Amino acid sequence: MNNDELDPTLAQAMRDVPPVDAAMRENHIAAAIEQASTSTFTYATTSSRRSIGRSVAVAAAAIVILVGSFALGRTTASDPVAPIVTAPSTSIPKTALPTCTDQFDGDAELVHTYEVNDVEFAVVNANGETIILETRSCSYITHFTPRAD
Amino acid sequence: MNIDDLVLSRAQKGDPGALDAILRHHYDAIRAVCHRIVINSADAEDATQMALISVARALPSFDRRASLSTWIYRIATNAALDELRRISRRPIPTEDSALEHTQPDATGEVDARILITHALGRVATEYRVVLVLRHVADLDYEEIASVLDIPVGTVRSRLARGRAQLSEIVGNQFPSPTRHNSADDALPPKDGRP
Repeated sequence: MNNDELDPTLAQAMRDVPPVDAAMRENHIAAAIEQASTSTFTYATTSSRRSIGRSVAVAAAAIVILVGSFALGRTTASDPVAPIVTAPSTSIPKTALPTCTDQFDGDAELVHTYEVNDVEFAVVNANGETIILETRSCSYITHFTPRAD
Repeated sequence: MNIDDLVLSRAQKGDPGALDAILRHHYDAIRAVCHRIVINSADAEDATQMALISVARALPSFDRRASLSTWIYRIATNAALDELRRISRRPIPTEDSALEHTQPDATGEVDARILITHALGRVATEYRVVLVLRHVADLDYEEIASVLDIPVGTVRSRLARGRAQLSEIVGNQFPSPTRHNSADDALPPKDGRP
């Protein structure tokens, strides 16, 4: 190691960073240890704009999904009581859905899946119609026909 | 197995006390690197937090091919560079306001910390990072090359250019306050040139 090429006063000034606030140090370390044991993101710093931005983005996405699923659930449910809607599943049953779509004449395309009260439903486009199926049994729930304008 | 290895092993197995000890031991070094790369204090504290979290999360997978401190410096540097990228749309504050209000004291000296912060903020980032790893983290050329994943020759050239930039900025920006009464003790304008 040698600092011969940089003036020692300059080098020392570089190492002399602003003193740390003791409370901030404890918060930093505590948050890091917490992160090591959990997957939840917390952020203990002077500025929390990053976590706020992330939270807003997650909340916005959740609202979009929730509203969309809720609207779909209301359309399909005969029960006037609004169903409990959860975020749509991204896992598509690999065995049930091909069988479900096979029952249609012509091409059938899986558009989306979602869950209502722990029951998974699939949105399928087939023969120009949008069809809702219950994925486990491939039960027909309802369908929508595009309005002819 | 020495005590450091024992603590590291326990931290890697999820012992929070051992992890606390490691983070606490390296805290000042991580923070110094973040401050000198990021420049702005609040953003540097954010980078420090992110670096600590990254260390805590990645420690179980630390393979000991490099020393723990070199590995931690790599994480701190990446956290600082990530922070710089995040704030790249706005200019890097260099505490100009603090500088403007800083007057030479009885000996004619000004706060070297403010001067160096101001000057480092004007050194190109790629040179500043190497300067910080060399003169703040006290890493040798090979370690810096490992941290940044660049050839040693590139480390040498960046260091030379960084020192030149820093010396030029210090010399041009703050000649009078540091030279009033104690030029030998203040930040020299040209001595640091390679």
